[in-house]
Amino acid sequence: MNSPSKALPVAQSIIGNINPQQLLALLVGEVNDWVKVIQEEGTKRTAIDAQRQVMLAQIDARRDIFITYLERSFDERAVNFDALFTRLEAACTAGNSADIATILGAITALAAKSPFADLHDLDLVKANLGDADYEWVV
Amino acid sequence: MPLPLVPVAIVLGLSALGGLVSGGRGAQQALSAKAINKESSLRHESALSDHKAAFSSAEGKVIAYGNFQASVLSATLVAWLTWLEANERKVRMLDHASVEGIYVHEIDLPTLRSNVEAARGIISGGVTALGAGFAAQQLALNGVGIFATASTGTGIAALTGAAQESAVMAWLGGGSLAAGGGGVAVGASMITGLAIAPALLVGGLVLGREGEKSLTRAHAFAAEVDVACAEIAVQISLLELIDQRIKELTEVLNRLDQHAQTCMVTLTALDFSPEHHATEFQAAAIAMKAVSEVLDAPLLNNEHEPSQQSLHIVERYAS
Repeated sequence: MNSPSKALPVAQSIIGNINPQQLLALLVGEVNDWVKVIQEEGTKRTAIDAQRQVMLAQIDARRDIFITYLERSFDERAVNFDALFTRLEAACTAGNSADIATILGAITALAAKSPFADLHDLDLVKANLGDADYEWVV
Repeated sequence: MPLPLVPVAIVLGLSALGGLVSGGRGAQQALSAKAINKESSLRHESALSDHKAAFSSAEGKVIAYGNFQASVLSATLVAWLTWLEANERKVRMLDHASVEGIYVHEIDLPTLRSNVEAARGIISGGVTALGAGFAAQQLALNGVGIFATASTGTGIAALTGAAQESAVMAWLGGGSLAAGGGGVAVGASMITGLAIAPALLVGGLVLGREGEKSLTRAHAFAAEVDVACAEIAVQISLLELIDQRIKELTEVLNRLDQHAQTCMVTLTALDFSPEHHATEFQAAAIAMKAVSEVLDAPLLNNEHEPSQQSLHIVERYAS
């Protein structure tokens, strides 16, 4: 059985090997590093969240532009196709070959132009959507 | 002189306590990071699954339109081809003739013949080694002009997993994660090289620092997934609008086909004479040309830009 009198010298021999100044410097340095990292990482997370909000807003805005443009394009094209086929019937009834050829050419030209092709130029789409006087060639 | 035992013991005790606090916080942050990563990965997988479903739906509609194109080719244009072959000598007499100011252009019989045969192949399911589904898909996307070239494409992959290089994905855009999920580390551990230090302060502080950093990395990953999911949602919306384009072209092709069939009925009822029936021939030829041009219209990209004159005609007749 160890007597308390023997433990004290052991403790003293261990503690006696510790350099208090070095220990203090180490501990203070590590604490400072830890506090600094908490602050830095917190700042980074705030910046990440802010950037995320900006990017999501941009994507939403772009999506709204694309969908509005395409839906408007398809609506206008449907009206145009209806009008062209109505005139085609009239031209056929009248036997007007020249008009028939011209109208069929217009129908195929409109069909060949896909509304999706313009989506590459976002600036163009935005500018045209915002310009009330712009005449859409659909 | 040995250090006083009690003060040093107090310092070491406080250090151990501080180590527990900082280490505990660090471990908590690391666990939060792990949870955020897992949730983000699941969200991204769900978005990719939704995209895949939307893509499959669009693909099915594209193939259906391609089959419709093939049916028009193999019915209406077959009737035209048959009549032309039966009256080839008489039709040649009309070459460069003018009907009401519109010249009758030479008809490319070999190409028409080839397109019709290819369309019959799609209908019967035996056109290429890749299968009728691929051919119908290509017909819908690129128009009848595809029959003029050998098919050396990637087949069904053009509209499936490798869609990033296809015409559909090219204009849809999207970032690295939105392009198909490549590179996303699913469930990656954000705690690497973390040494579980002893209970003294220094070990706890190391744990604390690593925990903070892992939480930041998790935030960055979650933000990237949010952006990717938003991009995927845009693509899904655009895929759904492809159906609008298909319906538009189907309607136009249907009406032109009916007009062309009417012209064919008129023409075939005649005992054709180039001197007396140039007008009827002209009407049928122009109608068939219109059908061919819409068959050649690409679904998405403009390969053949219409002239400004044609578009102004649209404005005049549609107003």
